[in-house]
Amino acid sequence: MRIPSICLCAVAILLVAAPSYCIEFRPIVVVYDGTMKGFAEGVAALLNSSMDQGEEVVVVTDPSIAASLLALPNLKCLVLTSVGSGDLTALVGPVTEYFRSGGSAIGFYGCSWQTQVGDLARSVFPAFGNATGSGTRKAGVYVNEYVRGDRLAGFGESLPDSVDLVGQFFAYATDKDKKPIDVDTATGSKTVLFREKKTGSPLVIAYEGGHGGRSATLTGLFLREQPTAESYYGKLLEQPEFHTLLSDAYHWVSEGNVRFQTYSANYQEVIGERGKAQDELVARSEEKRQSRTTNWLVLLGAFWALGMVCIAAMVRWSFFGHRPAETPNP
Amino acid sequence: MPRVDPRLATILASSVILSTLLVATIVKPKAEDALLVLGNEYPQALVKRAPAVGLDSELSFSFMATRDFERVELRFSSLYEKDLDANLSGSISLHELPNIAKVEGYVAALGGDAEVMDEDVELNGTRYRATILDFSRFLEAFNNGSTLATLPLVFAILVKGDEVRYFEGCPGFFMEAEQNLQYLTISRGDDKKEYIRSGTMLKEVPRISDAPQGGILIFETVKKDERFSVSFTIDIPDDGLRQIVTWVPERHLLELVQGYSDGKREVLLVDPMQRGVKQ
Repeated sequence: MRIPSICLCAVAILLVAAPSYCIEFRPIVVVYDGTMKGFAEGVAALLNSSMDQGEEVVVVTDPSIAASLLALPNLKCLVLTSVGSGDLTALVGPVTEYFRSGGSAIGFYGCSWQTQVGDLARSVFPAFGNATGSGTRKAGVYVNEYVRGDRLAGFGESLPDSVDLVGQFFAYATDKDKKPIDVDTATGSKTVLFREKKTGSPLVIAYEGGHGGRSATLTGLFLREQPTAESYYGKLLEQPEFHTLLSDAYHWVSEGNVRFQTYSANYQEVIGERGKAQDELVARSEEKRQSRTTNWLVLLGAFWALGMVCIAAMVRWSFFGHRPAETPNP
Repeated sequence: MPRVDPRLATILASSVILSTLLVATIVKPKAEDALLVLGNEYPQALVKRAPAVGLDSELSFSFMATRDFERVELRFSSLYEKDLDANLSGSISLHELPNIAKVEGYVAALGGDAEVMDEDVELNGTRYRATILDFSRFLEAFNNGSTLATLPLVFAILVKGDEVRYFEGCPGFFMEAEQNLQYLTISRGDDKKEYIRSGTMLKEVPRISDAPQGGILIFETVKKDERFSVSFTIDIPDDGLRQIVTWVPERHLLELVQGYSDGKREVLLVDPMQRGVKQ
């Protein structure tokens, strides 16, 4: 009988330990575009080629699912490739909250419009866009001319000081006289890495939020999905400079994802503690229930005993103890 | 006065005692609900600026603990009806919907799961079988209340024959509560806390933004017969909530209330409201 008990113990240990083996804290990168799925897939493919930590890149086109995935602790980066701000309306609140909690994100043209996406273009992607600038047409392709702004270690350093990237328009902030201006953020640290050659408007913004999250805003990536268009996204995806820019942006923002870093370090602990607290609460509750049942059984037993004693006493008194009065002799 | 035979009296008394004891042993006392729902009131329909046009828009819930508990938890969520892919048949389950399956897959990979609930719900006189999935209970470990309140983490599917209706929503007293709640009251016994919307003149009253976020209320060390109540008035501005369209009463909202006592779900209320009224 020794072997079966050892086997039973081993099975029990395996059953207890099994859930922890099933847990996989694999980093996830979500790429969202509500209208140009092909562009999002292209960007996802580029990101995949520059990742080395087993990240899973997910392309989504439904804003609800994109918002739901923001709740995951293993979300390493959110990439919003949308050109139209209408795609982003439902995501303004969720992405702003996600960024405030220390998350990281990359946003393209659609995220830069404060008149359309409000807080998203102010507190997450601080482009404060309220005007559109036009790109330059070169060899039948619309491009924005990028010139070096400030430098930031690990983000765009290997790019030339002047580069053209496909894009028909760029979003920028203007004052009341329609002159381009740089708007500072109330909190955090904002660095303009590249500017538009003619207007000096920011084209690449690196931002570290007050709560630790990081974002990269690429205000000049206005693209179209028709292959015949002069700003077709496929042309941008073929540019090696864009690969470098995207890869640098991804690595810079995800390195600063406080939320992801925190949970990747202590996920098991958080889950374990939570499960333990919950299990203990349920166990205490169950213990109380058992105790109530036991008390009831004891009480019932006591009543039975009392009832039996009463019956026995009555039987003894009436059948054995009580003598009928003797009839006097006549 | 006639004398009663003591032996007969003994037999009768013994019968009474034995039958009482047998009844007490065989018939168990009916288990009372741990959390008793004392009140559950909600409007039939919601429109924008409902209080201004004289329509009732107050939701009110009250509960009583029927024994001592270490912890009672009330969780509110609001869901709104959305179109479902026309190709999906009535036999589909909530778990098979592509979006839900995706979220469920990632949550499962992390070792978590959704709270699954089943309930009958009546919409416009038709009774549906509702299946509800709530991921917020697992994901709240990684997100604060204000973040949770913006994320669609609660899903429901209502099925009757081939008819399928789909709902999704966020944890919280109501969608975008800071903008759409005019007034919120949370009571525990005589302790009453009131919150009002920002922009109101009353300076000394706390704002809705100060209320527990994510619609999660936790009451510790609860005594038997203690009562809790939550009520709020919805006032959606004209430019608020695109989900509310005044003249489309066919679509619905669901207000979900879950009550837990010592970690076990004891209460599930699913209150349907029309999103609009007939013109």
